[in-house]
Amino acid sequence: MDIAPTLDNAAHLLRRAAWGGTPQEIEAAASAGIEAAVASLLDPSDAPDAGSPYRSTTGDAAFGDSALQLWWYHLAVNSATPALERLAWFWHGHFATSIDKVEYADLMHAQLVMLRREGLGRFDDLLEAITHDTAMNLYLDLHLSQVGNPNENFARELMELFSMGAGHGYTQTDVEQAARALTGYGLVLVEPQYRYVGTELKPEFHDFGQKLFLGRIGNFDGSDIVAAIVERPECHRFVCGRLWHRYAGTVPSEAVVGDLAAVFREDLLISDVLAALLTHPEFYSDDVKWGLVAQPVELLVRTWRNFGLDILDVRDRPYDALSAAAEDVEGGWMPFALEWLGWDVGQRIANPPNVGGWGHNEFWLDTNGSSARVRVGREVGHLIASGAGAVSRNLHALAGRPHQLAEAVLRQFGVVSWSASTFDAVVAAAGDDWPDAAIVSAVSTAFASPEVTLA
Amino acid sequence: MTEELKCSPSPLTRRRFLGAAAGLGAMVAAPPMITRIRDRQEATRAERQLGPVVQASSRRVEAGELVVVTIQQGGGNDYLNTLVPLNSGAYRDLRRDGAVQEENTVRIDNEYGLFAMPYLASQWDLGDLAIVHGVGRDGSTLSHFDETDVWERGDTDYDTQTGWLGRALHAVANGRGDSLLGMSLGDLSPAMLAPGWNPVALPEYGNIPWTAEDRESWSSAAKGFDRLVQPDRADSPLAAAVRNGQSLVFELADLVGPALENRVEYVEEPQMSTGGPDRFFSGEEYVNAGELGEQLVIIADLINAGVPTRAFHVQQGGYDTHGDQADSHPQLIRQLDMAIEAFHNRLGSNAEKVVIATWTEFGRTPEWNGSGTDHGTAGMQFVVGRHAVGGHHGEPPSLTNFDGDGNFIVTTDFRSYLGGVVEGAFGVAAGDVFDANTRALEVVS
Repeated sequence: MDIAPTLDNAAHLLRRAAWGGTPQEIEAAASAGIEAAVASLLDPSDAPDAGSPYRSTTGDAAFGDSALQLWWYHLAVNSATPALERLAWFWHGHFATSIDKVEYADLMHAQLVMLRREGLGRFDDLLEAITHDTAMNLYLDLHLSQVGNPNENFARELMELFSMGAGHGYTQTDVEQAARALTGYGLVLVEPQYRYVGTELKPEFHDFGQKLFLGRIGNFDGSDIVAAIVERPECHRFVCGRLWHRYAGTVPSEAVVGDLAAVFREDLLISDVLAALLTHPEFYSDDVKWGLVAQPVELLVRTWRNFGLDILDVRDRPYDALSAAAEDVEGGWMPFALEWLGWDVGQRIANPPNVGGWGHNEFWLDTNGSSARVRVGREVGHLIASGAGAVSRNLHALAGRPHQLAEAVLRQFGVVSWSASTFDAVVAAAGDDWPDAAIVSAVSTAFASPEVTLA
Repeated sequence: MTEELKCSPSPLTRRRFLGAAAGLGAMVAAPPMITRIRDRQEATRAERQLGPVVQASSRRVEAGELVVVTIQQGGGNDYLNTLVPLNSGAYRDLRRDGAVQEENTVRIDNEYGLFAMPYLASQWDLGDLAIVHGVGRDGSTLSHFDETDVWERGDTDYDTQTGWLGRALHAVANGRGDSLLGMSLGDLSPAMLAPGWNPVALPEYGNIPWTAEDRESWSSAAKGFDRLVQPDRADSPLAAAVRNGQSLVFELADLVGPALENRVEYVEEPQMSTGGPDRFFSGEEYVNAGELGEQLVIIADLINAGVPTRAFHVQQGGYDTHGDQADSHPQLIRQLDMAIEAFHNRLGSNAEKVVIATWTEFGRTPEWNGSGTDHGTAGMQFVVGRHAVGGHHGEPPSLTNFDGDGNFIVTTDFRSYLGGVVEGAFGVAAGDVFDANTRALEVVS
């Protein structure tokens, strides 16, 4: 059954599958039709190279957290394949790993690049890659797990959070046996730079005994554990449920999970199951359309993309040099804004609160999240009012016409229909006599509205 | 003024940028203060369970009323290396090279030494420390997320939408929802405070308008917010919650702003840092009371200012010590100890009406894994304060007889423990907040 190619459906698709569309992109998606728009969104052929923050040619000077933030935002905002970036962001939350414990920004960068590379492919490849990922190894203590002293941290989360779900198809015994199979995966250290560059199986620390895992007996290693997991129906249902949770926001019905799992189990292809999700009639229900709060990072990327705001490009020069140079330039701080706004909104790339990833829906609506939207909305409003971004000029031209200014601001956020309450509020805000203040207030009020806050 | 708004000063650092932003608000004529509308809002699903939300009362905490501060030790605190069994071969066998040396503990009686918590040991001597043994639940999944959920809900039923502290405060408010009776500090959403409307979390310093000048500036720049928070007929439950959250921010600012705007800023007081290597652990780093200490000091200032809030919640993370536990765990509990000492000092005589209750989602495996401990079942909890019933509560679990997974057999149901806090501190029957059959442990009087 085809999905009606309305502006409302097209805007919804772009908000969820990508970072949200500009008015032009929403029109184009509606004209193409939802199915064609989904196919185009999930086509990776125009994907840019992920790149890296600046590294010196000697390779010893790695970059830090600030450069990592800006590298990520630059790619997310400018990419020709926003749906691919959005999916990599989903996997980052799914396989949540924190630089707080890992400590090395280059290892977090390598993991984020891997999640992007494998994100649309086969789930078994992705699960295998995260099992051998260096940052993950450090984060969940795999490098400490040795024969005779298995550490359960990774083994448990591999099943609970990454592939099957707590209480679904495995027992504490399976956790213990998987932990044995996962012993001996150590880190590869390069000296004299003293950098971790990968993981490897160190036989002297690996448990080569027989294990009983998910009903089978064998001398299993980490790859065998992954292979056994991805065959299980609990795994198919869990992964589909997690995709629905983050893309649709609601609790999926049994029927929806069944539909998606049937697609997923054929080839374990994530691109197939995501296409099925984004073209599922249930995905276009009112409950789903009003069922997801945008995570702050998503809101920032949407704002930067749609209003054409600048981000520092850290690929060619070290962050510190760029930072020093910006000190002498009028407005030179603006391209840095996303680096510190991440602190303000309570969500930093590579810094989830725990291995469960970031919160969902109501989590962002407590007074912490609400005050951040007020405050960050004001800062974004100031940026735009001061002339930053391709859209600023158009908005200035509408000063003195509150209704038109309010409509232009809401549309620029990718909103195609709105409540009377919100529109009244943005019009009131846009009614300030002084143009800059009208833009600041209109943008900040719109930024905190349900229409923008809900993805 | 116009000059400033063009953001032209160079170099314009972030601080100056924010200064410029504040300048704008001061210039624009202030609209009327935000209209409070939450009591007119349509009831959301959860509100229907619990009755309507009304705006914060202007009352204060009355004489004789207690304030509860819950401290969550996130990640699962290790029971055996916090409260160390003395002269126990079973303990040393389980912990091998991870065992705490007895001489590094403060002996509290013939059975136990308290590790790295000298201040709590002093409270024990005063009769102001309750130690609750073997706390957990049957049927634990050993998952952080499941077990944290269970503790926050105070219920093993995953369909329960409310938190135990939210329900208790609801009873305190005689069935009216009073959002500002409970408050959390820190980044994590306080689900256990959630009675169905937006939980109140005190934002980071600077993220909320503390000063009168800031509040006026916010109101000006947030022109239109009085309309934005008006419910719309077409609102979905989440859309209504967005508006409600925005409204609550201004309400919270009105409550805590005046209480905190003249506070003496956090300074590192002597009791908030070891000042150097500590006798409880090797290594060069010293330990300080950290973010937990800062948050508790803010809570002390709010209590001293007389806000009507009856329960505060803070979290200290990092207890998931699968690896390197010998380094991290002593520092965590030492930090907790120092933070509580700093809190008491800041409270002064008001410390008498404050009950501190810890909780952690589970204890850890009895057996050492070579570098730490994995997820276990029963843990231990502390209640601290003049109204704590000092002494041991609950039965210590066996160190030789375990469940089928090699974990402690739970001896104290977590609801009995929390029920004791609720009954003792709020006078609310445990059975009204938890399962009807819950028998409260007398940990607070």
